[in-house]
Amino acid sequence: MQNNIKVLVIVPAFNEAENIAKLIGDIKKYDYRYEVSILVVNDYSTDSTSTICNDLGVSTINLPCNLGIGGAVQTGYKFAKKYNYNIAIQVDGDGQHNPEYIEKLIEPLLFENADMVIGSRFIENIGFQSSKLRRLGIQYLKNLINAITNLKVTDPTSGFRACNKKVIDIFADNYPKDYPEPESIMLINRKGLKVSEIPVIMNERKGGVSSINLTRSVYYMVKVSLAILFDKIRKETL
Amino acid sequence: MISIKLQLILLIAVLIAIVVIIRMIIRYKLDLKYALLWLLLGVSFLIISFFPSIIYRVSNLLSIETPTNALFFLGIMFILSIIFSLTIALSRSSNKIKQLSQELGILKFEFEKIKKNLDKE
Repeated sequence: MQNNIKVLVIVPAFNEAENIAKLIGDIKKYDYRYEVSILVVNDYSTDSTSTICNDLGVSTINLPCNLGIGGAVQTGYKFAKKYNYNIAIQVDGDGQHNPEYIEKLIEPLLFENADMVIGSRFIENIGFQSSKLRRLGIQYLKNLINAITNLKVTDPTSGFRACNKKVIDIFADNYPKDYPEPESIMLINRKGLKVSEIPVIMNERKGGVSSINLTRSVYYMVKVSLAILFDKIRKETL
Repeated sequence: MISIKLQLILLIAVLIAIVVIIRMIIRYKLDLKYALLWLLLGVSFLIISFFPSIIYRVSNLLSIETPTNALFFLGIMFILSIIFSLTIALSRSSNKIKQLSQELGILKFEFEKIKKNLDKE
């Protein structure tokens, strides 16, 4: 184990009582070569998420009100910055992200010059691939980002990602609020840092409900597209 | 033409509104910062209700057929700017609430940890 590298696994959770215990167990199951700590950010869940985390003895930040995914994840980055973690990894609380890839996500940060590594479903196209409609949406976002930044990201909506210290510091100060994933890629790219991807296999969510339903999808696409375009303008004027 | 009736209604309504706003500011129930636009609106409408000729000029200037419509136009413009200023204030507040919640969440976590350690000793 390399003691000098401290890794924080940030698990944002909102009403994930059905999935959280298994996920935490899965993360703890593996032997890591680095010092890995888990931090659950409980985004004011109304179910027993908080009690379950408490019983498991896992470090949990219970937010005093519901901030949404962006605000919850940013709390984790603020914590990582405050306690000088070298690497932060986001793993969604719904169990879609498989903890066996945690080590693989870290490697490009340590051995290549990547600053942020995204776990992508669409490099090898194995495992849960999401619904047809969502794949179409993701494809569109991928092309949009590629068209305006030349950046090739196959899975821009993936919340399974690892960041180094530089990115932790940026995210602690400034992280997009809702539907933050594609926008945060733009932010990191604008700051001149390198985003890379590794192939991962994701699971279908086991319990609970996704935060994005069909009616919100249209709003999602419009909002995220605008956010990406606005970020492009920021780059040219700032 | 603006009728005397409309002029009177305008005058009374504006006077009541201004009194209410000032009373709320004095009792610290309304921040002067957010009430400024409302006061400006009140004073402008007060002036207009005393000197309706201003409204005739505005309607001529903007080629609006009747002065009453010009009055509505001015009113709507004012309302839009007030709503927009509220949206700005809301964005600022929600950012502040987010930061406060995050800080509080981290502090709560640290506090619990210290408390547990104290209990052990």
